[in-house]
Order: sequence, then C-alpha cells, then structure tokens
Amino acid sequence: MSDIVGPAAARSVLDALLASIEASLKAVQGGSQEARTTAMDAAQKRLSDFINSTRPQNLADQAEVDAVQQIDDVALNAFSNLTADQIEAGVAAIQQSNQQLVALTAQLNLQTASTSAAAKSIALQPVKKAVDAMTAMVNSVKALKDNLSAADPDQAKAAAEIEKLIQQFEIVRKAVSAPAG
Amino acid sequence: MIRSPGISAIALLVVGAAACTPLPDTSGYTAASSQLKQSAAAVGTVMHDELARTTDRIPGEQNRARLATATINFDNAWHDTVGSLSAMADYAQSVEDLTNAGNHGADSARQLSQSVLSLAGAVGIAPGAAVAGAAVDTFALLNSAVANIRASRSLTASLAAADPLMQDIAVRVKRQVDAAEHMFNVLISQQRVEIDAAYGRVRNIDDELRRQEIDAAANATGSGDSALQANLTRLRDARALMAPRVAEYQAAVETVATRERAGRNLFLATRTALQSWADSHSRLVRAVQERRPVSFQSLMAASQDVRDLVQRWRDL
Repeated sequence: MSDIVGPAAARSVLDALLASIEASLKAVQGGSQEARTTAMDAAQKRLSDFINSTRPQNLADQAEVDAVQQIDDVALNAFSNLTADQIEAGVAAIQQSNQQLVALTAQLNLQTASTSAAAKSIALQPVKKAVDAMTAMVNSVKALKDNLSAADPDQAKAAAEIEKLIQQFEIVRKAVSAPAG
Repeated sequence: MIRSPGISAIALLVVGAAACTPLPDTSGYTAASSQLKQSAAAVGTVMHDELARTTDRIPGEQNRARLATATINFDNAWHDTVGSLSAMADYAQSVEDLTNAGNHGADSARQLSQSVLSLAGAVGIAPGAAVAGAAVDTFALLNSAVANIRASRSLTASLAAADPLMQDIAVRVKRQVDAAEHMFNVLISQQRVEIDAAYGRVRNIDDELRRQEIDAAANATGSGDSALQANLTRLRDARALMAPRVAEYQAAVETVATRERAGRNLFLATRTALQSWADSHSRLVRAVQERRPVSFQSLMAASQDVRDLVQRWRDL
C-alpha cells in the first residue's frame, strides 16, 4: 500500500477499508471455518498494511500527528477485534475436534490394556503371583499353628482346623510327587 | 512305513528356531512416543505464553476479557490433546512390554520355576538340586519358544487393531497442531501491529529524515556551500536524537521475531515428528508380520529436533 498522507486521506481510506472488510466477512458468514479464517486473515493483513502506510503531512505539527495516530488506533481496534474472533474460533475448532480424539483415545486405551495383559500373561506374571501368594499363605498358616497353645480350648480347636488344612496340602504334595502311573 | 525319529526331532528344532526369531526391539519407538507427548505439551506452553502476553497488551477491555477466557478454554482443550498422545505413549510401552516378554521367555520361566520351588519347599516337597535345576532349564527352554510364539501372535493382532486408531489419532492431532499454529500466527501479528502502531511515528519520521539526509548529503558534497553543510549537520543531529527510540522499536520487533521463529520451528518439528511417528507404526506392523528388525532412526532424529527446539523455546 502506498503512503497515505495526512488525517483526511487516512480517514477516507480507512472508512472505505472498514466497509470493504465488513462486506467480505459478511460474505463468508455462513461458510466453512476455513473460508472465514481466510477472510479474517486477509482483513487483518489489509488493516496492518493500512497502519504501516499512514503518516502526517507535517511531522512537526503535533495536532496532525495526533490525528493520524487516532485514525491508526481505530484500525488497530478493528484488527484486535478480529484477533479475538480468530482466537475464539481456533479454540472452538480444537474443542470440537477433541471430542473425536477423546473417543479414539478411549479405544486405544482398551487396546493398550489388552496388550499389557498379554505381556503380563506371556511373562507368566499372573501364575507367578498366584504361586507366590500360595507360598506366603502356607508359611503364614504354619507360623500361626506354632503360636497356638494346646492348653487353651479355643486355640486347640483352631490348631486342629489348621492341621486339617496342612493335611490337605499334604494330600496335594503326595499327589504331585507320586510317580506317574 | 519306516519312520525316522531323527526327522521329527530336526523338524521340531527348525520350527523352534523359526519361532524364536527375536521380536523387533521397539524401545526407540517408546522413547519417541514419550518425546512426542512432551512436544505437544510444549506446543501448549508456547500457545499459553503467547495468549497471556497478548492478553496483557491487546487494546480494549472486552478483547482482554475474551482472550483471558480463550486462554482457559485453550489450556483445557490442549490437555485433552496431550492426553491422546499420552495414550499413544502408553500403548507404545505396552508393545515394548510384549516384545520383551516374547524375547525373554526363558527368564520368565526361571523366575516362575523359582517361585514353584519355593512353594514346594514350603509344603514339604524338596526335589534334589540337580533334578530341580534340570526341570527349571527344561521349562525355560520350552517357555522361550512358547513365549516367543504367543507374543508374536499377540503383537500382530494388537498392532493390526491399533494401527488404524494410531493413524487416525496422528491425523487429528496434526490438525490440532495446525489450528494452534494459526492461532500462534494471529497472536504474533497482533503483537507486531501493536508495535507498528505504537512506534509508527518514530519510524515514519526516521524514514523521512533519512531520505532528506541522503538528498542533503548529495547536495552538500563538493559544493562548498556552508548552508547546505549546515542543513546536513542539522538532519544528522536530528536522527542522532531519535536513534534511541528507533533502537527501541527495532529491539521490540526483533524480540517478537525471535519468538516467532522459535515457535514456528517447534510447530514444524512437531508436525514432522507426528508424521514420522505414524509412518513408524506402519513399519512396525510390517516388521512384526515379516519377523524382521525395524529401524526408528528417522523417528529418533525427529524427536531429537523437537527436544532441541523445546529447549530453545524455554531458553528465550
């Protein structure tokens, strides 16, 4: 854009520019997000060019300098409003797309859980865990029985129950260690 | 019919050897996936920083309120975006766990055997050391092949099921990164135009004085006219007087330009890494199907680029 010299010229160009921008944005109002974004980008580029093209006729005339600055401020406000519009539209697009992304993520998490379970199974972790738990239980039961007093009827009864449990383990032991027939 | 026992033994050995081809090492893929998640998080930080910076300075109370709300909404939305990459990193870890389980079946068998021997000891079964050792070794040998086959089957099924999801997620995250980059560009433009508006007069005056100085210098050179020389000196003094304000303007422009370069490089690197990541997953699917090694070199290089750029942004 060529230099726009003096407040009168700046005001005239800006009036025309704002009207043109308003029309171009209205034209894409019901259109796609992409079309609206392109129109807003173009509008901001034109406003930025405008701000960079204005200058007072007489740099020593403070009143004229201030008048041109005020016109630039109007253009800057229009630019800033479009920035806020663009940011809100961008965030809304991300939020909308995230709804699909969250659904896909949930499906992937199911696949991850299934893959992890397969990994643990192949690494024999569930079996090892069960065997370790059983070993701990056997040791606990043995320790408990050793601490019970035969003189106390309740404790003697509990010891008898534990003895039965140990005998069941013994049956298992014999079955496991018996020679294959 | 004459049967040779040796043939079936050899056949078993051949099958065993084929089955025991190591599954591909996917640790590079896991590391890159984790890096990709950090990259997306860094993109979110970049955006948050620029939104906050612009919110502080944008003209108009209403615009400041709108950007403040948009910042909160963006942070929440980006949290979900990063969450999807986090899920991809978790999946990569589960794939690595599966390949490890398949490649280390003997170790798993030995650990389980040790547990079984402990249980046997607890219930009073005490096999001789030599017998126990032989049993453990045999189980380890068998499980090595079994684990390999089971892992290979599980891996093939898992990767085949996950690949369409991975590709879809990668495409959608890339779109999110594109949307974020456009917002980033809008914010940078806003900051730049504010500088132009604030310093416009300074720049205009300096441009005008420079033009006049060039003309005056051309007129004064060799003329011997003291008035022309005095005019040139006056113009140079005026420019010297304005120099600090012009330097301030240039510094403000350069500060924004530096952040713009760093941000754009990060967006570009993140997109490249996303594409490389999706391609690597497809290569991984084929490598497992064909039981051959797979290289993640380009993915690792892309991840390294992202790591460097994230650091550069943090250093700004």
